[in-house]
Amino acid sequence: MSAANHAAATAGAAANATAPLSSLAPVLSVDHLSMRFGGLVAINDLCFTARRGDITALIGPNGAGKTTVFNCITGFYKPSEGRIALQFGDPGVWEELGALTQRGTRRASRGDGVLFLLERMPDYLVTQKARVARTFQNIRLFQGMTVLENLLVAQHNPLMWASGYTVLGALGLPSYARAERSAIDKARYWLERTALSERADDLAGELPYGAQRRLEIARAMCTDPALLCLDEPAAGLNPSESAELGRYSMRRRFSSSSMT
Amino acid sequence: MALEASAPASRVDIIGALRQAAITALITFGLLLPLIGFNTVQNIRNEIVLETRWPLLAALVAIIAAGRFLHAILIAPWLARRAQRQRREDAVRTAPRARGARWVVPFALGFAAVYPALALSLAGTQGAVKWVDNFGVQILIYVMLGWGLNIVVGLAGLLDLGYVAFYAVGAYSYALLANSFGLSFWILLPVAGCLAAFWGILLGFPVLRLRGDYLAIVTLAFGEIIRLILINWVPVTNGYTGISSIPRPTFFGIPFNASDEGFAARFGLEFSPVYRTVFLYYLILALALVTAALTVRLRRLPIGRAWEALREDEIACRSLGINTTNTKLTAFAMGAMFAGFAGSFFAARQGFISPESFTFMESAVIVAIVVLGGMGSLLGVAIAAVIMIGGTEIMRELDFLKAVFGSDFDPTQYRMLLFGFGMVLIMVWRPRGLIATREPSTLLNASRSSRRHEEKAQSTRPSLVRGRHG
Repeated sequence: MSAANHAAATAGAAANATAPLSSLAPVLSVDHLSMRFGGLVAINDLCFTARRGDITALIGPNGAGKTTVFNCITGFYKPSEGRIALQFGDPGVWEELGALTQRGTRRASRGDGVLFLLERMPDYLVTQKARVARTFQNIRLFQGMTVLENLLVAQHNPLMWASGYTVLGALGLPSYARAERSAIDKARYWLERTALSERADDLAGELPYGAQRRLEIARAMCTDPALLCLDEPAAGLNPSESAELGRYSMRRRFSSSSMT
Repeated sequence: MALEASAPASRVDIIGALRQAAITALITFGLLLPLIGFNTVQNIRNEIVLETRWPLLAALVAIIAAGRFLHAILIAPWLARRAQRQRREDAVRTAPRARGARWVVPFALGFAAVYPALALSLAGTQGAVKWVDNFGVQILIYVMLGWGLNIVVGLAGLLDLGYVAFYAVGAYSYALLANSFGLSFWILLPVAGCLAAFWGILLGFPVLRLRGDYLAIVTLAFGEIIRLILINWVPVTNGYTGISSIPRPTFFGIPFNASDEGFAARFGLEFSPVYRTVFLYYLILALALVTAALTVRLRRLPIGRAWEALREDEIACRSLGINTTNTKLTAFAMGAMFAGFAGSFFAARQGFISPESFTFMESAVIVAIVVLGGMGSLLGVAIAAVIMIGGTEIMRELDFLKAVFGSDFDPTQYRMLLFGFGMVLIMVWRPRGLIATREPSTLLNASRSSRRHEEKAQSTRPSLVRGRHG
């Protein structure tokens, strides 16, 4: 765990693991990550790890490059240099890291452990295969769709599989109906945990700001993430709303990395 | 200006209106003086003579000034009041106003089912051909095209201005394959759909990264490319001359002709072209209903929700692990496939096709139907198609206007003017289309939520007020 804070003209990111040391292996390991936009160095040689079950926070002033780190982890940016490795299942698979890096592929497995190199994956596969979910600093909900529909869109990939890539679903097979019911049950579970059940059938854009933040987290959780990246989850919330949000996050105990 | 006029809503500002009318009159006079005031005519010795038309100019200026005056004192305040009321209602509007739609849909379906019988009994076998073909079949083709494009534009939010290209692909696929291989309509219908879908994917690949205006321009160019290929690839498509004597669809193997093997003879009826027309009517009705049923179905499947999510926010889609490439391509392919079906039907119905049937004008009409109807609303699109296409056809029937305006008056020449006027009216009156409400694809608790929507309609206002001020 090294905090890299370089005095490059505009940037330099501060990484800081606030959680107590635990014996568990890391879920995410970021090594020598750099991101340059032309001459602008947004991230310079950043290294940190996040462990399973911990809440890891990435803090820094405006323009420090926090969101850029998130965009690199979730595949929205391709980093200029560095390695981002994510693992779930059997931790023994970490030993494959060197070989995987040499091999030039994106995935290695040993037993039930899987290791991904995120910088080699397109953004949607980072969520689909490596199970990284994220929220956005400026909330990005599907505003014209209902709260429930937002949560069902998040379960797109399992539902797509269950509907036989639309063909079986269009024929009206009962297996898809069952899959959709269980998807709705999962959505209902997260709606209850985020206190949004009452508004499940309202348009997402009509919710008050704090509820939209909670909905975005619920939507990210519906993708079944191994790592949840919250980009400025408390931005724009008043103190009581952020305390409430903190309570939800703590109670949830997901394996996650969060960011303030 | 509109707001100022409405603020002291009780008092009408006559002086201001008069001033506006005077300014308008001045501008009109300046504009029309060279256009209308002077006229050149050739006299008997082929000399050009300048004529002046002061009375006509004065009449036009007076009409326009009076119109501006009336607009300022009557229409503008009314519109402002309306807009204010609209803004207040908008928050509530999102609740489904399905109460009216509940009986509209069965009624419309029932009417569509009995329409040929109605035409036959009212107009007789001779007159019914015109009514079933010009109104029924023609409108239903556009309803189907509108519903097909609705998948691309209304659900997936990809503005496609070259939709007619896929219609052309379908029509030419049927015409060429039927003429050269003698395959039947029922085999070529799915083939034409598949070919059009293939071209939809082919168009989709280069435009994946584009959105909004840029996408519209590229799709427009694509439509023109297809049309120019049809014109210039003479050995295959026969260029401007087009393809004629395309085989007509048969009634499950029985042709519609006057022979002993024909439909009328087999069923012991007197031969008449109306049977074919009625058959075509039900064929396109069935095709259109398949389009609608599939759209309704797909909206409830993950792919349909992904399309709508893509329309709302593409980046959020990718952050949820949705492959936006495939999602966009399926939307293009789906929309193109229905255009291909409609195209092969069109070729079979006409018996003759040429590139002139697939100009940009057609694309524009289809997009207008989708936008006027309300993007994403099947019912709205159908209503818009009936108004736009039915309106055009009605204008051919208004012969009595010749008695009023003289014998060389042709109402169809004013079609575009009336369309433009109607579009402006709808955009002022209903900026989001005739039917702007969206039915949610699933509800967590259907019975409870319908009750709550009613409560909401009465009680809630503040949902938009509390909006986003983060």
